[in-house]
Amino acid sequence: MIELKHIYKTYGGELHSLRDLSFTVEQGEFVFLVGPSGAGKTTLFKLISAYEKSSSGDLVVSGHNLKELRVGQVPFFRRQIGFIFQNYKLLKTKSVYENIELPLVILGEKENIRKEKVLEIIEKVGLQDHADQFPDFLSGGEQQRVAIARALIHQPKLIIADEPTGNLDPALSDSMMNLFYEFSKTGITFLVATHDHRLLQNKKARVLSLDKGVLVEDRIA
Amino acid sequence: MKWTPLKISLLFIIFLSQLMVLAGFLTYKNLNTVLGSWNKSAHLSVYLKTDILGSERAEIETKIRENQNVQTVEFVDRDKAAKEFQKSFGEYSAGLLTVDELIDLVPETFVVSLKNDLSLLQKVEVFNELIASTKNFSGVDEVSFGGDWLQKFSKLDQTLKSIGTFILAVVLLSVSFLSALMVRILIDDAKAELEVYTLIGATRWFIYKIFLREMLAFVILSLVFSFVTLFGLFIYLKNVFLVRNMTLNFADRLEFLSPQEMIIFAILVGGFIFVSSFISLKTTIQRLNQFSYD
Repeated sequence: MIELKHIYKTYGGELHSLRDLSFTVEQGEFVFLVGPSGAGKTTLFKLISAYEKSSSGDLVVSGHNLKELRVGQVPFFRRQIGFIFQNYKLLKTKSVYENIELPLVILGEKENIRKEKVLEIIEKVGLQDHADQFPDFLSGGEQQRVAIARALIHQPKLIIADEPTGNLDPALSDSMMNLFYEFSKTGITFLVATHDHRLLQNKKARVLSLDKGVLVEDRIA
Repeated sequence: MKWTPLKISLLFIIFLSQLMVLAGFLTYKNLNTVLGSWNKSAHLSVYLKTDILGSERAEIETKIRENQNVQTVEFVDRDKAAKEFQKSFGEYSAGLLTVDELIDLVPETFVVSLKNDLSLLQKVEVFNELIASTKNFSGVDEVSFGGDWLQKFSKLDQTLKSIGTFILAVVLLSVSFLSALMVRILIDDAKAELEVYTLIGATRWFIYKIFLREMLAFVILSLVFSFVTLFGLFIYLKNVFLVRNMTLNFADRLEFLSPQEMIIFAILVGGFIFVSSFISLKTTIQRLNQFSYD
């Protein structure tokens, strides 16, 4: 699914954000990416999601060599990925239903099929009673559920979650992670960046530790 | 489309801007119409002596017609002149003089009109030429065209047109700048939205379609409001002028924009706003492609 070979990312010719990063993530794996601030987690996500190119090395995601990806191909590549952020990044002017439906609209799915899929996933994330509401009227946990639903609605191969529980309390964080684990059973690869080591407890998942741009640990939690 | 306070403000500003330009253009158009009608009505009067011979009259007419800028030469005999004189005074002439009494007093006249494609200043020059060529004929008593007044008026005509054109250009530029700025603000306000769209794999054209559809709605709505408001103001002012029976009777010559003018305006202004939206959107999306998604 993801293959990194000797990836370097340098800014301004001197600042090495990532150094000699090499690892492979198989389809369906659940991987935590941990490390202090400035470790390079966000930079790694930018490379994987084709927001930036590596300075050197090879990066292949879902069969795409990102070095050779042309600008016009990027939107189509990103449709294989679902993104979940700490600050949710929902569209404030659209309802819960419309936010979740968006990836399917972009894919050109017919309305009746969209409706079927959206209602199904709304039920899975427990937002049946909030479908017509707007994000500003939802709690943090509810907004994150909307973000999760939107990230998963189009059945991506990879989910990139950058501090998805950063704004949630412990109980909600656990509930979110359980949701992730449930969806990971469908074969989706999860790459979750987190500072919260509590999330790693009692979970059998792979942990990649970064520090100053270097992979210092690759273990099973 | 969800109407936010910013979008309502944008619509209002674009509407006001268009209204200003439209009002300026309509004023300019009607100013040209009124000035043009006064231009058309300018004429030279060659007053003939009472004892003029037929041959002398013919000679004068021939001389006048030699000038290639002359459109028509109308001979007004005493009878006609007297009736027109009485008609001009209307009710005030009742009991003063009868038409028969007037006939002996009013002179015969050649009324000379020039070609309509001449400006007022050019007409003044031609009138002066005609005066010079006819005043020395023995049968001519007096030649006049309202000299000083027409010369001053012709200068005023030129000045008003120049100022009008200048003001219209300034208003158009200011309004264009303001509209482009408002569009830019709206697009920038939607940066978070654009960010999400690029994240979930929307192509540029998908994003363009969403925002340009919104801008099209803005353009159409603002144009409709502008035209309707302007029409309402125009009718109101025209009625005011008509009721007050303003001097020079120009109120009935006032015209609203023709359908062709409205279409041209809609295409030009609408097109400008649309194009500036597209450029703003394109620039913003290009910037966003380089952003950090934190």
